[in-house]
This record gives sequence, structure tokens and C-alpha cells, in this order.
Amino acid sequence: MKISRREFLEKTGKGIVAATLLPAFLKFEPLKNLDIGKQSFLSLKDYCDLFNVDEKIISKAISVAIDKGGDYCDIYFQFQTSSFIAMEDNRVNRAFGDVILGAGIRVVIGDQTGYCYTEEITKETLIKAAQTASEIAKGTKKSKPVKLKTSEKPSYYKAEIKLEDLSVDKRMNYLINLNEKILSLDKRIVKTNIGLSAESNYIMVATSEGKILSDYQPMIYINARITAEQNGKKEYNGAALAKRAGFEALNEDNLNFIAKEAVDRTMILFDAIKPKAGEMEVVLAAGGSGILLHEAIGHGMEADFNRKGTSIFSDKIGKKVAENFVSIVDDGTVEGSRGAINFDDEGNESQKTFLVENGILKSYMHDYISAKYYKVKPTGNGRRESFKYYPLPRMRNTYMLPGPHKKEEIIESVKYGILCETFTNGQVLIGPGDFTFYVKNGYLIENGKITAPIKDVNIIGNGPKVLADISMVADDFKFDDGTWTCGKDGQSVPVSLGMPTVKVNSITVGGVN
Amino acid sequence: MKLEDKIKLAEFILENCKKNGATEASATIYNGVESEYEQREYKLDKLSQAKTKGAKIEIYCGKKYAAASTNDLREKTLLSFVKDTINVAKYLEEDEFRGLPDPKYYPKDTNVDLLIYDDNFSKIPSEKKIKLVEELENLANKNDERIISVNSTYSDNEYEEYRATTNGFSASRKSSFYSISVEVACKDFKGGKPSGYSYASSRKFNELPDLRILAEQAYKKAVGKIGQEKINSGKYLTVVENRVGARLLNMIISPLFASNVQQKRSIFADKLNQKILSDKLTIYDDPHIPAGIGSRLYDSYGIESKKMVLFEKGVLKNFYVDVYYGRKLGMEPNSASPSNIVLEYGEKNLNEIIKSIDRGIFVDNFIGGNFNTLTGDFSFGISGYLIENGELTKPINEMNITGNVIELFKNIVEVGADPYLYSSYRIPTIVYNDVDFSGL
Repeated sequence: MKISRREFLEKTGKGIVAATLLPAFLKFEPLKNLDIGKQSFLSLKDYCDLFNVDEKIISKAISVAIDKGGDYCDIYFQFQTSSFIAMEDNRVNRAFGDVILGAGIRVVIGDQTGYCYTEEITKETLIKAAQTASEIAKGTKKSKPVKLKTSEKPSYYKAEIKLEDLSVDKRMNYLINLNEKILSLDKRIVKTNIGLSAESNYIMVATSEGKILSDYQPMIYINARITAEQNGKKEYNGAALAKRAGFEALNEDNLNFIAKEAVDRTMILFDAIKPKAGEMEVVLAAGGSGILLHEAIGHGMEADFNRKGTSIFSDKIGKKVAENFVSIVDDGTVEGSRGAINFDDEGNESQKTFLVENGILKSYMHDYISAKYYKVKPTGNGRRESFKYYPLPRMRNTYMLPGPHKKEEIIESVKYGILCETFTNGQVLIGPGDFTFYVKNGYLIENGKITAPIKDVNIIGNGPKVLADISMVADDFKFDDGTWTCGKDGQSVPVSLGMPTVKVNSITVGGVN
Repeated sequence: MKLEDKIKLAEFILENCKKNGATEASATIYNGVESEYEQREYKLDKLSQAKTKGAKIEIYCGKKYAAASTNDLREKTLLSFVKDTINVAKYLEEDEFRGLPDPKYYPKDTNVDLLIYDDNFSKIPSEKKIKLVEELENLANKNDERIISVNSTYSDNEYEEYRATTNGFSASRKSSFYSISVEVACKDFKGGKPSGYSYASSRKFNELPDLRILAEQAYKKAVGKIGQEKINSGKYLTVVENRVGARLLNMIISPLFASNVQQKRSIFADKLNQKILSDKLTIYDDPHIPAGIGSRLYDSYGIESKKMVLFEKGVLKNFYVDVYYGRKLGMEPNSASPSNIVLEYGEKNLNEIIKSIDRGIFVDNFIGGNFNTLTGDFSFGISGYLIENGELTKPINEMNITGNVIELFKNIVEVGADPYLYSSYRIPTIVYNDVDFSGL
């Protein structure tokens, strides 16, 4: 169903529900003699071999795509394997694998988009797909054949141990060790679910402007969920970690971190209460609280909504929206992070984009169409879920820069309010600017002191109002490596976020009357 | 891809599963056609068309299990795909509860027509679809200067799958689906840009509803939100619109999954045959509704779908039991997941219900929020209207509702007569008493 502009970010469940695949095994036929798993660097030629095409074929498909009058065309090639193994009831007893291969062709004319993808890549299927995508245009135009040229790209992530290279038994051992560690931490645990997912994404983008680029995008994530029982009462919670990295991420530090987080976050729920309902002071702990930025300002700053005039931020560029110590960025260059990209899915360079700089609203996040519309340089935010989708302006890693205050003075300043620590999901209505995020763990603050843990409350606010209401920003910035996934118009993309400790003077907290 | 080709591929896969050491296996081959049209500012904004295909396999090597999927259906790649999946399965730990279902649960007759396929699917010309989105936009774009933007969409898809197992299951199913939607965004004098949408779907093209009704609804929903603001926190009598009601109903459906029960993540785990919710609440899972969004003859494991009662006058009667967790719990499998959710409906529609209420809140949108399947705690953002003396008097927004699912569903005052038919959750208007709202 593709109806509305409701945007959401979800964190829970993804590990089990959406994860698939086992690449340790899957070799791809057109790859000929190339074993991608063993190869530390793949050249553009390797990618062309992988997709069974050459520059002549690509150039021909581009010409066909824009022959009816299109302004622009891009072709996105993708080969992705994913694998997931999981442990339940103390056994590693399930594995899922998935392989996708295909190419998507987009034709743009003004702000109109024609799109077609094919799951078989041959000269004929590409040309057929190009013709279908070109149906958005109605005219004829003789275009010159495109000369494709590749360029150097930065490298914000690498897989030291490639995701194809770790044997199943080694992956199993990691799960078994993690499970043992979790069980050793607390006697009240009655169930554990542990999952390990690895994705290898090989992409190549070619455009009618003559760009051709290829990239290997690894992703690994580990997820632990726990149910515990105490005096007949049960609680469950979990923790997860995601990186653009190889199997080197399966180290002891990460194992200990996930085990401890999952156990701590679960056990504290036994003592948790609900706060009072209504408006109150809200302190956002450093780290995952960046979800506030994602919802309160991030989506509203995606340029497609602004180009259409439907965002609450449409007429606010250059205006003061927050205190001077508030600076917010969307950054695709955070090394090894879940939201890092070397270039976006339209072949534009990744960058660190200031949405708010010293309290002033600076820049939207652009895709090809909106950058042309606003006559600005692309910001590297054109992203898509897979070759089956056209790109849209999307976030990468969204976070606030550190500010002048101290965490302690922030907490001391609160008369009655809450401190929000962990989150599961959020959503925003782009037009009115109403946004929410769901607090899984937090604390009540009374008269400047933390008094009791809280759980399961939703927070709702208005984007521009909350930005203006940020009264303190601490110097303790923390990046969050959670398994954040952002949904928009039916497409999911991996993102992440970060935040220093921040105080907002007033937001509505779900509670009891 | 023709059905014969799918059967051949499935046979090829199963044969090679056995040859390479699998003791049991299933193969599902599918393909589909999809298109999507979006209209904005009197021109086609997006046009997307494609064909899709794929294969899914489940492998059992004794009591070891692995599954995989691919969209590369060339025999040569499929062969290595099968071998690799078997190799992975062999590494894993044994699990005595793994294995294909007992064939006695497979349906006897898989040729029953559920009216979910439109024979004319491929005959509908692109021009007709374009005309439809144009008309929908024109109808919604009223002569009203408060309107900022209107966009309308049409999408359709056709899907066919064939599934076979090494223990005798073999069936194909085919379906088509059409959906249309329109969204209107408008200017609020207070600075926001509220929007309203409407949506409809059908199994056959000529069963899509009158576009005028959809256009009117989206327009009214949008301008109705102008001037919205939050009101005082407190306990309110709450009317929830049928088309968003699934958000709350889902809180009593998710804990019914056998996986949640067995993994100790369900608030209902030890409540079978107990009266836990309001006696106004009777809920069925009904897989055989003609042309229903969730209608089917068998679930994803091939288990025959039958109508079953989930709650009868507030008494918990059935869990959703799939093959694997059913074995772990010692329960007979019935259905891996919901098909169509239907209720025993009441007598009044939305307007009649609103008229009967002196003071309350009408919720017509949920924003974010979540719930806990184990403890039943929930909290959701909402927008809607204040109800005073039988009328919607004021649009409200930026508020939360918070509470516990059992309390909420004990406090049902009324179940409406007006199920929402464009979802597999056929929820009517439902009235809940004493819901905690957070606002000012």
C-alpha cells in the first residue's frame, strides 16, 4: 500500500523477520573464474563480468532509455547475498539464505520518473527494460552515445574478513559463546534468541551523464533477545549491533557489549513504572536518542517533500530554528557505520551534510531530481532499497554535534521529567510535523535526581517546536550502532544516528492519568 | 513463466535435494507482474512496471534445517544453490521438532475458487490506468485555495506460485490485486500542512469503487484537520475509526502466535479457554471469504486453512499454531499466520455511534508507538477529533494513548457494524472506555 507520507524508523523485529540468507556458499554463475569471496579488491571490469555486461551494452541501453526525450537515465546493477543463522532454545537450529540479482533502469524527464527492472541481465533484457522505462516520455530525440568514465571513490568501510569467507561453524561458535555469556550474567533468564546476519551487496551504477561506479557494501548484524522471569512476572527485551564491516566485527568486545546490554535492559524492566501523562521536561541520553532528529527534522528535510511544498520545513531554509549550540548533520562518511555509503545509488559522492548549523536551517537532503529542481549540487542522499526501486532522498547517519553543557547539569536542571535511554521505533507526519518515538528504557527524574526506571512510553511532539525547545546540549556525543532501518514509500534502507545528552523543555509523554 | 515451467523447476529442485543428501524438502516457484502509476500536478509523476520471479526452498537433513531463496532460476545456478543450502543445513545442530508437516494436514481439494484472480488482468491497457489516476486527481483537487498538493496512485499486481514437497504436497495458486489511493495536503492557518488520504483495493479491476467517494474522503480528511491542537490529558471514551483499528487489534493477535507463546513472549500464554477480554468481542480467522485480501486454501507450509474462532465472547479459544512451534508445544497445527480477521459485528455505523456519545475522542490516525506482546503495555501517538454532544467539534493532534492491552479490550463498549473491507483485518468502528490520553 503506497498511500501516505507516513515515515517510520523501526528497530525491533527486523533481525528475525526480515533477515535472510547464507552467502558462504552462493557462487554466481556469470562470475566465471572470479571467486568474489577471495578477492580483496574488484575492478570495474570485474563488476562488468559479474553482471555479464560491457560498456557498449550499458551505453546502448542508456541511449534507448532516453531516446523518447528523457533528460536523464541511470542503471543500477545489483548482486546481493544475505545469510542469517539463529539460535533458539540453546541450539543453532536454523539458517536462511537469499540471493538477488538484477538491474533497474530509471528515466527522468523534468520531475517525472519512469522505471523498470529486470531479473535477467542480458543485452536484450536491458534494452527491453530501457524501452519500458522510457514510456514516461512521449517524444523522440536522437541522443549521442554516452561515453562512460569511472572515477576514484573514497572508502568509508571495508570487510577485513569478507562475509563470504567465514565458515558456518565459526559463525555458530560465535552464537554459542554469546548465548553462554548471556546466560552467565543472570539466573532469571528463561529464553534467549540470538541471530547473526551478513549481507554482501555488489553494486554498479551507470548514468547518462557518463558516470560509472562500482562498490562492495558489506553489512553485519548481531541481535540478542531475552525473556526473564522473577516472582512469576516476565519481561523481555534485547540488544543489537550493526556495522558495515566484515566478520572481524565478531570480536569479544562486541560479544560482551551485546550480552551486557541485552541483560541490563531486560532486568531493569522488573522495577520500571509509568510516568504521569502529559507535557514535561525530557532529557535524551547520548546515543540512540538521535531517533528524535531522524523523525523531528530528518524526514522533513528530505528534498522531495520540500520540492512538493508538503513539508513543515518547506519555507524555512536560512531561518533560525534552534539555539546557537544546535548543529545537526546527515553524514554518509562515518567509518564502518550502518548508514555509511561511498556514493549514493545515483552515483553521487557521499558527504557530511549540515541540516542545521549553529541554529540556522542550512540544507535539504537531495536526490538527482530535487538537486536539479533547486539548482544545487547533489548531497549524496539518493538511495534505494534494491534494484527493484527508484531512488529517493533518504537519510544516512543523522546526528547532533556536541554542545557546551554537562550531562550532570542537565539532569540537575529537571524538576519533573524523564530521561530516555533506549528506543524501538518512531514515525513522523511530514506536513503537520508531528513525530513520535517509542521509549523502551528510561528513568523518571524528580527534583534533579533520577528516581525510578520507566518503560514502554511513546513520546509525541512537533518537529519545529521541539527543535526550538532544545535548551541544553552536552559535550558527551555518542554514535549508536543499533540495527536502525528507515522506511519511506515502501522502501527500507539501513541508517544510523547519534546524539549527545540533550534537554528539551517540553514534550508530551505517554503515561497514566 | 507458465505453470508447467514452474512445476518442472520445482521437480528439478526436489530431485536434486534428494540426490544431494536432503531427507525432506519443499520448493516454491513464483512469478508476478506489477505496475505502479502516480499522478501529481496534472501529470504522471511516476510510472514503474516490472516482472518478478523467484524460488524458495526448505531443506531438512534428518532433523537439521535450512531455507533459502533466489531470483536466479537458471538450472545451473539453482543446482549450486540447492547444494550449498544442504551443506549449510548439515552444519547446524539437530532439532527434533523440524520436518515437513504430516500430509494429513494438507488440503484435499486445492481447486476451490476464492475469486481472487481477475482473468482480465493482462488486458487492461496502460492508458486506462493513466486515465484513472488523472480522474482521481481531478476529483480530489477541489476548488479550494487551502489545498497545497494532491497526488493519486494506482498499482496492480498478478502473482502465481507453485509449491511441492517431497511428502506429497503439490498445488498452485494465482491471484491479482488492484489498489488506488489519493492524498490531499492543505495549508493550516496555524502553520502546519495536514493531509488526508483515502485508499481502496480489489481483486478485480472492475470492482474498484467509485472514485468520487475516495476523492471526497481524502479532501474532507485533509481540511478537517485544519486548526488541530492538543487538549488536556485525561481518561476519555474513545471511538477508533475502522480503517485504522487494526493497529489496536494487532495487539491481541500477535500474542496468539505459537512462536510467541513457546518463546515466552506472549501475554496470553497460559490463558487458553479463559475469559480475558470483553464479552462484546468475538473474533474469527476466516480464510475463505470470497475475494478477501487474506483469503487462501493453505498456509505457507501447506496446512489446510479452516475458519477458526480466536476469541469467543472474550474467551481465548485458539492460538495460531504453525507446524514447528506446534510440535514444540504439543499442539495440532492450524495456521502459521492470520488470513482474514473478522469480528461478530454490532448494529451501528460510525455516524450513529458518534451521535450517541456526549463526550469522547474519535481517533482516525495512529502515529508511531508500540506495544509489548509479553506484558501488554502499549503507547501510541494519535490524532482525531473531540466529540461533544454527538458531534465532532474540534480536530486534535499530538497526543498519546497509553495503557495495557487486557484492560483496553476489557473496556470495549461497542463493536460497530461497519468493517473496513480493504484490509485482511476487517475491523469495524470500535468504542473503548476510559482510555488514558496524554496531551496538555
